[in-house]
Amino acid sequence: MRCFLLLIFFCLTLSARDIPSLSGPVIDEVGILSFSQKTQLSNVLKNVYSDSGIQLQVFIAKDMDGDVIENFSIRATDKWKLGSKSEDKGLLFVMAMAEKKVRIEVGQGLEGDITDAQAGMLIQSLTPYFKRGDFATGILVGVNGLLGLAKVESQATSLGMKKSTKKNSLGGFLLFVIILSMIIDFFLGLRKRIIPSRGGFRRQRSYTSLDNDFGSSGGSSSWSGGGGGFSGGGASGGW
Amino acid sequence: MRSALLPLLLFFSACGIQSLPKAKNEVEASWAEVQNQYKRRADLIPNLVNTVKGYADQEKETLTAVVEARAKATQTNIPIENLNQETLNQFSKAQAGLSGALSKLMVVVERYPDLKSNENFKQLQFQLEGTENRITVARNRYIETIKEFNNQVTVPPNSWTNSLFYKFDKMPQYEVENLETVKDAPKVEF
Repeated sequence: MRCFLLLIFFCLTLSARDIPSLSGPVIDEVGILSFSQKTQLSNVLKNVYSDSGIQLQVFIAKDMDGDVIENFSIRATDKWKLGSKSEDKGLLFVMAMAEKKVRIEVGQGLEGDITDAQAGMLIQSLTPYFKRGDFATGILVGVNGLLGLAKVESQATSLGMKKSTKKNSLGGFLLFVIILSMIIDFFLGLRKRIIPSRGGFRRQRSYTSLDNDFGSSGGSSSWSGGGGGFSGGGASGGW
Repeated sequence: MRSALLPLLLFFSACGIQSLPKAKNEVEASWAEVQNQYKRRADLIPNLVNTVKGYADQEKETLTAVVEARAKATQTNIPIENLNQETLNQFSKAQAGLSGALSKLMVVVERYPDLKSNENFKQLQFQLEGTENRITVARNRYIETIKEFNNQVTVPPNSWTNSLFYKFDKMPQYEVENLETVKDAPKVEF
């Protein structure tokens, strides 16, 4: 029996690191984003997908277990197949926290909009934030930059003409949402400090319900890849 | 007669009558992608050489080596009909020559801080890195599709269908000695 357990243990340690299944637009294995930041970002990315067909995935990995970032990220896109099969408008923003590496992987349908050089410049502009440990801002700069390059802004405004509920500028909307979530984080933290001895379960519940109040614009649409293809375009960097 | 034909057809459809040509199409597509990405790299080089020349004209030797290696690499273009182990080796040798010349150039460039901070050069460097990565991806996919195709051709029962109907030959796979880039990697001297 002990031999068997040992065998299982060895099998587990020997296997290469797996890519997790696609659970949402933001997969955060280390929790560098707060709950509300993650929810807000997820909702924005869901809106972008339904409006423009651009499926941007944020993947913050704990480590790569000996893999290199280029191989790790193409393995992820091979598994997830972000973007629709006909348009191939998938984007992956992947970070490996232990190795301090970051990469932008560009789907085939967006290679004309986001060249390798542009992706490289974007990576260079966000790594200073990562160096300082300000990961949330760095990710935001990356996501905003990618959506800008992919011309989501103009698409969002043209859609906004038809649908009055849509915001005019996506970048501004993102900023607004993040500031709002920071304020709410602050107040939640304050409340936690003031009323510390309430049951953990209850606090957890109020947390989620509060977030849902203004984060529900994205709805609860499911998030899955559509068969989009990647051929290794993009750029990598480190911090 | 017709009732006898149907089970026969069902038998063959399970044994590669469809999957064999499909696998061949996959190979053709992945080989086209490999050549496409190498061409993309070759297209970047004139611009790169011109930019470097502006700052480091004294590195003529390294630059001509790159230009010559590029010419050799663009000459060896192999349509899928002519793809066999020998031509594949030729092709990858020419490309590996260009990879070696390019990486030597990139080492030389380290001595020119003005060039390295040039905006145009930075962009070219990103594009070159991106293209090298695309080449790696395309080559890995070629290796995968060839593996699948060769399995279809050699492993029964699909191989029986192949020898009866299609008579496809095994396709060439990348070998370790094809990947000569490592051997050509430049030595860093201080």
